[in-house]
Amino acid sequence: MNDPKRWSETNSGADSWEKQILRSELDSRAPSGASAVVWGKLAAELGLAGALVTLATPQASASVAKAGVAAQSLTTAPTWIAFAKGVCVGILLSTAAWSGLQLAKGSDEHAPKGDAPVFAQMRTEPVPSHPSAGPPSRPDPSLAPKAAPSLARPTFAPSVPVPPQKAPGTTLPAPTSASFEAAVEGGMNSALAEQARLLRLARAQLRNGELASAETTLREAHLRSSASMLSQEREALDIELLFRQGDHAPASRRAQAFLAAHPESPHAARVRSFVTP
Amino acid sequence: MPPSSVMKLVTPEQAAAYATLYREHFDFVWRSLRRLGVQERELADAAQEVFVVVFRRLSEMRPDSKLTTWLYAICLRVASDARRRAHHRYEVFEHAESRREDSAAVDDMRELLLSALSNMPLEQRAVFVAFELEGMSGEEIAEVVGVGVPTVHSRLRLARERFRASVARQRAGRASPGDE
Repeated sequence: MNDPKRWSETNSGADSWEKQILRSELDSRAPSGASAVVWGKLAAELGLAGALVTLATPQASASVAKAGVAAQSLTTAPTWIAFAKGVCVGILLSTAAWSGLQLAKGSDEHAPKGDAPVFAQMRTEPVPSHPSAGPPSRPDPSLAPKAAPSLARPTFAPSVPVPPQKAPGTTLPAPTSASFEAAVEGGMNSALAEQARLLRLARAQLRNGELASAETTLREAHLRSSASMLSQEREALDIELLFRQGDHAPASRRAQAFLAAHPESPHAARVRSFVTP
Repeated sequence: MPPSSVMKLVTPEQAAAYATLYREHFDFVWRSLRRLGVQERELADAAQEVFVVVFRRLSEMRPDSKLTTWLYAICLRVASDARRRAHHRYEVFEHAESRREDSAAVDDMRELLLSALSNMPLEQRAVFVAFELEGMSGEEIAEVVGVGVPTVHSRLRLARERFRASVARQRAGRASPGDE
């Protein structure tokens, strides 16, 4: 049974006034900020707070898709895979890997505040390959390679604050069968996973008072990271290490700089504790 | 604390995929709820409710279903519940709004549309919104509302008649008592 013509179409029987009314509403959007407010409450309700997922930008997604980073399968369940096909899995998981997905597990202090916007604009810098970072990601000639990090002892320079980069939404390219299969059958970016593992280890060592071990672990994390990969968490741990080593004044200065640069960071509460009067 | 059945699904990969779904479809959910009659002050809560359902039932989505169709079905159920809860409080409020817009010689197209939609029963409104504003086919709408395609076409025809009559009344500047 054929559908009637829509009123917005020509020769549909609707007059021009009725068409105007319909067209005025066709692409209406939610008010600015609504998405972030609802996301904050959702993340808390669904237990996403422990994973600190942030909303990616379409630009980040498209850029990462170009890099062709393999991503770990969401699940083996057919419906999840079918869903992933519909929403460009390669872009989704690449975004999680490359665009500053922050993982902080098992800590209530990382839970975002209910009213704070939890999404952030993320940069799209590629992760440099490292001999010990696991399987190399696919090279993309369109992305300039980053310089190899120095092997000298890091001086714990404060993270450079990244201004939010707002970009208009773009239409994501439809996933091809090959890109989808690669994304599903591949693995989550190993460099990001390794960085997250090192930071978890450093956090545990700090909690246990193993300061020398924590310093070594954080040094390795710096060596293996790009500037944007989990940078806030790394900086927060650097500050904590300084404080626990007795360097309260530099720790306090770094903490104040961190809070000025990232007032809404999920690490803000912890970092604030290192600000000394 | 979320139940364990939810917690076990929150792997970084799945959370990232969910976040992208949210980002790409938030506007669609918001405007669908508004068009289906959820009051402005309840839209944020209703949108949250929709995405909670999405999170918990994503694995139930049929592989051959369109995502927006599935989302619209959830929005319709949430909007229906919200309207039922608000019925006694807001019924008079909606009519008062319509009268105020009529007497002010409405030149805001969007308010005209929402006011016209508010004069439809939800079953007609759902079909009209899905067909005329979201471009869903009769078959997709039939799947959402759980009726046959002929019933969808019938409801669309009735919705169009109400829409036309409501718009004509508002243009004429007469008060528009609800005729549900």
